[in-house]
Amino acid sequence: MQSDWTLSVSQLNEYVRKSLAGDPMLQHIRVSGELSGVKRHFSGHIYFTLKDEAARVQCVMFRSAAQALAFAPADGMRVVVRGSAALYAATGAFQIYADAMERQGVGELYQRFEALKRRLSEEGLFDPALKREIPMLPRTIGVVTSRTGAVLRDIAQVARRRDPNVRILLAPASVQGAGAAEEIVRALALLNRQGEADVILCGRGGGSLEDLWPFNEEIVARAIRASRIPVISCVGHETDFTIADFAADLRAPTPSAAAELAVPVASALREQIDDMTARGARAIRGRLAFMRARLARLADSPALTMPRGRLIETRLNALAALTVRLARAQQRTTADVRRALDIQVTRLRAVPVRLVEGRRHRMDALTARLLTAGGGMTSRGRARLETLSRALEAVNPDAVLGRGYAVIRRGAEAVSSVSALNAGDLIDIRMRDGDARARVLDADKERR
Amino acid sequence: MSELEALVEALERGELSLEESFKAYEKGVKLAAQLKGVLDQGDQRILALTESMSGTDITGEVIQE
Repeated sequence: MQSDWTLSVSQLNEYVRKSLAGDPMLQHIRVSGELSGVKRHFSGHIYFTLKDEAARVQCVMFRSAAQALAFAPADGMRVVVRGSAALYAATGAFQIYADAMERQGVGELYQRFEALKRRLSEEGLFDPALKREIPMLPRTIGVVTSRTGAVLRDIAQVARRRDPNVRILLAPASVQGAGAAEEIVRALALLNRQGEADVILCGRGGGSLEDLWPFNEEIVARAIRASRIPVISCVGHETDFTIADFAADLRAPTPSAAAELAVPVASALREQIDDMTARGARAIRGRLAFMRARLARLADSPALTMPRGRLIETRLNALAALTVRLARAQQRTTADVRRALDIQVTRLRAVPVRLVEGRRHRMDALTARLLTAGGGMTSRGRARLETLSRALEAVNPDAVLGRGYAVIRRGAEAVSSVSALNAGDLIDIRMRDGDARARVLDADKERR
Repeated sequence: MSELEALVEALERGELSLEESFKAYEKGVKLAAQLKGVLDQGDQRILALTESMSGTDITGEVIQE
């Protein structure tokens, strides 16, 4: 029975809603399945998907029912939901309105995840020894992700910021839903065949366990491990761990972080290179300076210069010693002569009579000797000699006699004081040119 | 990069003879120039790879940012 009548959307939806609402079977239902995409709204309502291997259905649990829950619903949990199923006319969405929810064992998807992880781990697929090093300076990075969406954009932004010249090759693939795992595998193979990428970033944005499921597939894990080019995985959020993450050479918590791990900051590298060049230049200069200094030290060393120096020094020393000896010798000569002179002068002053007795020749001889001795002396010594000679002349008795003085003698003794004379004494008078004998008439002792 | 680092450290330690030092420095300068050259070359585009049906041709299609 075909209707030619054109319905409006509202009419259609309302019709279906009514149809369903009228079905008593749908008013009280119990459905078991796996939770996925659980989102708690700020209003207190919970929205989630219930699913099995072949189908899924949207669900909502309003706040009043949600508050009564004995556990916190989470993705992957196997549950039984009690409620009704209906069409929401405004959106045309068929959904389950859940009044209650119970847990029922571990989520099947999680079980599969754990089983695969265990099996592949035992096989050695996740062995750290298999992990390759990410190249330090990639010129080309390959990206396996969806062509649309934020992942490619985030990776490109971060990569370009760090190194404007890094090349980006995209091998597009669906990242969720049926067939996604196969597409990811093909994309990895494509990049390996093209061969220019130095590193591959493989991942997707955040989502439910079900959304991320392609990255938990065995074929994806094996393809990552088999890639010739090192792979950095970046699936979901910080806390999401997929099998692809275990199989990859490096796991990044987000696509942006993956770009940071893959691409070094070019400007910093340039600075490092410049710095190392400068260090090398400094090292070379230092070495040259060191060598030059060594050479200079060797040239100045005693081994090369000692003979000449020693010779001069020896000669200088000898010269100094001679000078000192000479000076001392000169001083000794002058001093000796002076001493001799002094002695003689004293003696002469003390005993004029001896000279008067006719020993003039002694004085002459002495003077001659002195003059001879003084002949080898310095001018100062000579001057001193002159002075002393004159002094000597002054006390020469003959000179005294020559001036008119007489020497009185009584008997053998010379008399120099009137106190020694008495009236009646016989005295001798020696004068310049002869002697006379006389008798003292009287001595006036009180004159002075 | 690590080779350059090793050269510079050897120079700084001063273990090499004068002749060897000069050789090492020259090598270092060459390496530095090479590295910087690598940094300078590049490509600002993003290429999306697609395979031909036969699977033998890979073409890169420029994606506008």
